[in-house]
Amino acid sequence: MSAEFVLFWVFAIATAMSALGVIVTKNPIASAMSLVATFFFLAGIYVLLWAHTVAVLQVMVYAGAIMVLFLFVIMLLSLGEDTSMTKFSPTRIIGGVATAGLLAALVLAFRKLPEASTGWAASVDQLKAFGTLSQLGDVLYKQWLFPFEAVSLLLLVAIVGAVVVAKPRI
Amino acid sequence: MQRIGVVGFICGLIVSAIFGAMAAAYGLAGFLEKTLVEKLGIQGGAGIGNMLILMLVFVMVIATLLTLAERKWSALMQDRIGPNRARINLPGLRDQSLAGLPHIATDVIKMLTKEDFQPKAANKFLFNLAPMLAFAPAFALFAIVPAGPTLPVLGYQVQMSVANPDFGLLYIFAIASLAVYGTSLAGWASNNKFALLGGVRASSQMISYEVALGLSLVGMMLAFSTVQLAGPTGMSELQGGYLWRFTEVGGFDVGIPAWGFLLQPLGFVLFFAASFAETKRAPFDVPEGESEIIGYFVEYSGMKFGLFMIAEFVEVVVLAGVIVAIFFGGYYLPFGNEWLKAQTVFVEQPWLLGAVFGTVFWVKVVLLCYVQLAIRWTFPRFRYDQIQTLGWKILLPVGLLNVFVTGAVILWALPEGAATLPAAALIPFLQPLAIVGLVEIAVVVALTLTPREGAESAHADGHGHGHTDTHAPAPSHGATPVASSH
Amino acid sequence: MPSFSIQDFMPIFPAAILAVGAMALLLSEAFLVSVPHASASRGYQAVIGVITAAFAGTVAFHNAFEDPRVVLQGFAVLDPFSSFVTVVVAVTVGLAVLLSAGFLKHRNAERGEFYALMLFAAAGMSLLALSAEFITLFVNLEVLSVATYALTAYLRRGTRPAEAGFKYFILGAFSGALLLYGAALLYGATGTTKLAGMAEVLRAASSGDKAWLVYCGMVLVATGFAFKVAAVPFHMWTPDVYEGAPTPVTALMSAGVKAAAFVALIRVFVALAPGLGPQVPFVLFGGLALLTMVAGNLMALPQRNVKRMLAYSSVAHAGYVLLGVTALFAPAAGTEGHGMGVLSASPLLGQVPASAHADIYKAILFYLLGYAVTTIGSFGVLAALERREDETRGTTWDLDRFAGLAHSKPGWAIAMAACMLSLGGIPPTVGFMGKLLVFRAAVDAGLLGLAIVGVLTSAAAAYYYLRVVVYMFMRNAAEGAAVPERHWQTDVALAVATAGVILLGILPGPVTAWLTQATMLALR
Repeated sequence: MSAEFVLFWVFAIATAMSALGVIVTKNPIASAMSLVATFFFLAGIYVLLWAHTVAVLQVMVYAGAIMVLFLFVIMLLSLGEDTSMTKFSPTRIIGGVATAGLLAALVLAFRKLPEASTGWAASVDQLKAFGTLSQLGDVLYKQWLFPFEAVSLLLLVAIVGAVVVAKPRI
Repeated sequence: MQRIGVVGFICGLIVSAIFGAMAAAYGLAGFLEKTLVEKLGIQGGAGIGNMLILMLVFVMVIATLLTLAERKWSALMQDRIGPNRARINLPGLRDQSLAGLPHIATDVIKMLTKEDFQPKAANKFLFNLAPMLAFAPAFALFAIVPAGPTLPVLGYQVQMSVANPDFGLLYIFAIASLAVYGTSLAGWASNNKFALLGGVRASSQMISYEVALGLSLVGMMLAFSTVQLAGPTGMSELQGGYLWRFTEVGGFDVGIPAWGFLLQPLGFVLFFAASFAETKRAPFDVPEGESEIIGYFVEYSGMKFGLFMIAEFVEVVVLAGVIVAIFFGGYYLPFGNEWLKAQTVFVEQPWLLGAVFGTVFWVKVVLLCYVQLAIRWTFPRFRYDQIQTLGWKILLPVGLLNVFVTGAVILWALPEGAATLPAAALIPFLQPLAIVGLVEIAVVVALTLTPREGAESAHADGHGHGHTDTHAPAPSHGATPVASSH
Repeated sequence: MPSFSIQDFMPIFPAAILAVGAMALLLSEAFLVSVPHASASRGYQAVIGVITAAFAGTVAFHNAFEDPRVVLQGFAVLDPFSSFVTVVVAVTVGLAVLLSAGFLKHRNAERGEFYALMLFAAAGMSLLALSAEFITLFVNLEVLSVATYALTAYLRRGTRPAEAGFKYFILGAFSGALLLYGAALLYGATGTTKLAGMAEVLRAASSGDKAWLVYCGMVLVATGFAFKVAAVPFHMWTPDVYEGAPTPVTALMSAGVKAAAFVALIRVFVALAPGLGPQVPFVLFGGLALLTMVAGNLMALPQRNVKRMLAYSSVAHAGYVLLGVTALFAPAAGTEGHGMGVLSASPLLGQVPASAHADIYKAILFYLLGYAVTTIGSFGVLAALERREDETRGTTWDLDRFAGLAHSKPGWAIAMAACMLSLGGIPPTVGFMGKLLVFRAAVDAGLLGLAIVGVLTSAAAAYYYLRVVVYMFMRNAAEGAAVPERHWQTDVALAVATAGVILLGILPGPVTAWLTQATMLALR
């Protein structure tokens, strides 16, 4: 029982519980906060996988920026407790069936997984370098430069578009 | 004359207390590292020791003392006497105000014994969660700030920061962005309109300034080619080098050090302003206002309010620590570092050297805390739209400009094959950056001081109508996206 | 250590020029706020837009003569197809900007953002046409989509533009998700997102192991593209969005988006098809082409609203292009594994330059060019006729508005007539030449049945196109009909479009000859 093993299960269970919290809590703000917690614990799992940069970006972007905006919208719309949920509706049944199917598919897929994954990293040093900021930078700027820059164009267009649409009548 | 003597004595007392505590910190960190490695085979004991001493002792004690310091300083600046009513009812002490020190104790007792009130319609869970979420990120920020150099203690290399992740400064941005939840949840969960307004103001201000905060540090990352603060190639360590080295008198080195605020003066100003806004202290204190919306913590009482309050002071300390580590040479003196390192006593007992440098660090932190208090009590508060204007229309463009200029200068200044050289060897090549930094600052100051014709109308924009300036765009096709405060 | 040379960036120069022009417009707008009489001094913006488009088009034209190659670490290709589409896009956006100048001035709604978004959309189209990797392709598709969503909702008078923008956004996001899901399945099957890598893997392991994964991925990707090119049954958004959007934007959408999306679609499926046999794309696109040709034309028949009619006509024309795409995968077209060339982002894979394939590519590209010029012209006349007074009345685009146009505005009437003839596929216009090339290619590929359907439907289509001509030339205007304003920019745009329609119809030789040469080069 290594420390990684214990930490993994702590993070995994916490992630699953907070993810459940997103869908079972009735209060939208509590749901949003559960989602924040999910992102946070997920970041912990990323760290265990040696993906440090992804972990910190997960916290920074998802938990720190995007969910804040979610929270803003919920707060300003002042959504109260959700009362519209009926016990049985067609969508619920369809959703339940789909979820069960997805679960079955996932179980089947997991049964097909090999028993133990083969180590791909040659050494601990290689493992430690993987997922660091400099590695990520190398990949982004030396291989994936074109899509990376295209994303910046996309973000710019999205900002301009949002401002244009949000303007008072033109 | 006697007063100066008293002040000098107290300062000496504080410095020696810091020195002792830092020596203890190195000792404890080395001991824990050794024990854990030898007994359990786990590395990272030093981090635990640092967590105990740096965060729980240093940060918390300084933050606690700041509550008193703030009262004393505000009193001094406003020509009042300041806190002196709390006394200790013992013979001989009854007539002594003891510099207001008993007020700290009375504050604590008051907060711990007050009724823990909860609004009836509030969301209990989130209401209780909010103070924790406000306090924890502020406190956790200090984890990557190094208070001293990495030195061998008890045969193990001991670092003087809780952690030194490879993503360094990104950790600060990530954790700082989580601080928004505390305020916005406090505002929402209180089920109070004033609290909600305060929470929304606080969080919109914080997310606005996060952008400028991130941009302001890019220049420093470029200059030192690292995002780490601690460690042998971290920013704090590199600031021990010299940009211009003048003379060596008997081995005592003198020169202009490669401190961040000399390399990136504009970046420093931007970071200071943006992080000041993140702490929500005056002049950026619109989230709380005694005369209008009270604040996001209006429904909190007792120790829950205390958490919000102490979080603010912890933020002050942590901010000072971060600024020292990035812009003011970290734990290094501006001169004589190499001479100090070469002394036999320090070579033989490295922990003593660490304690000296640690003391330097904490003295700088305390001085910066003082600067923050002085700013808080000097400037009038901004109006809400002025805060947003400053963040989006001034700090953000200037920050972008700073990134471009810095990048261009570094590209031009660094020699061929710079990537293969050690980071410390590159410091002398950063001289043009310091010159450009000074020019940048001069330009910004000149622009600020030049009286503008439209300045009057620009301020009137916040009120929307009623200004008679003919140059301003007519409201019908005014494309100005001015954030109106009403 | 990989590095980039200036050669790597050549194909994206046109898009970069467009983006820089857009940013210049945005910045100028920011500084314009402090200028007195800002609203009156925006005339320069359309000029900047047109100059940018012309510059980008010139650079793209220059690129078209470069040797086809894979650049930017295999994320993009420089080939005649992408360059040609970029030229088409540049022409389209230039004309659309000219049309917008008058259109927006009339409504006092001229802003730098509008032209900037148009240029951004054009940059997205250009980049989409040269993407050779799925993530890049998706991002660039989103660039152009997001820009067009915002443009659709730009004018918000009444409920229509808001409704159109919202519909377009929701359905566009949905189709984008489908495309991405399909791409994820394909990635799962092949282990790479690069089209060339996918083609290699699929060709090497053509066993049935992951066949279903690939089939599902193909269907989802095709669905995503079908939404973008408005193929039946994924065309539902088209009439509402085309009608609600500002008319110059509609012109840009129907001409540019379609051209770029079709080239991307062809690039993806040419790469995916060989390994598991081209049956899946053949059946998919054959079905889509049949449905689109028939349903698009049938739905256009009863429309009295000319803008809606043109929207359905745009659907129908997507069908004709799909007919050409189907021909690419037709079993009779040749032996397997041919004609891949640089289209699949890997020149090494090409084996036999099948001349049949070259003909098909040529036909599709020429059709896209012809349709772009024609649709700009027809929407341009529509935009010129619109008045801001009757925006809320719902009769803005009624056929009656065209009555007697030949008398009041003979120039516009001639332009509209030329465009209608071209859309109907009647000589001597570019539409006729395009249809001729596509149908001939289809027949050569053995798709006689589909080609006959195409001819029959275009014969039926002549009815509703000619009806507009009849109204213009043989009906008298209603009493007291208001005369629309004239703007010189609109007239220039219409003149250019009409000249293109007729000149390309009479003298298609230079363009087709060049296309043949370029296609052979790319397929080598």
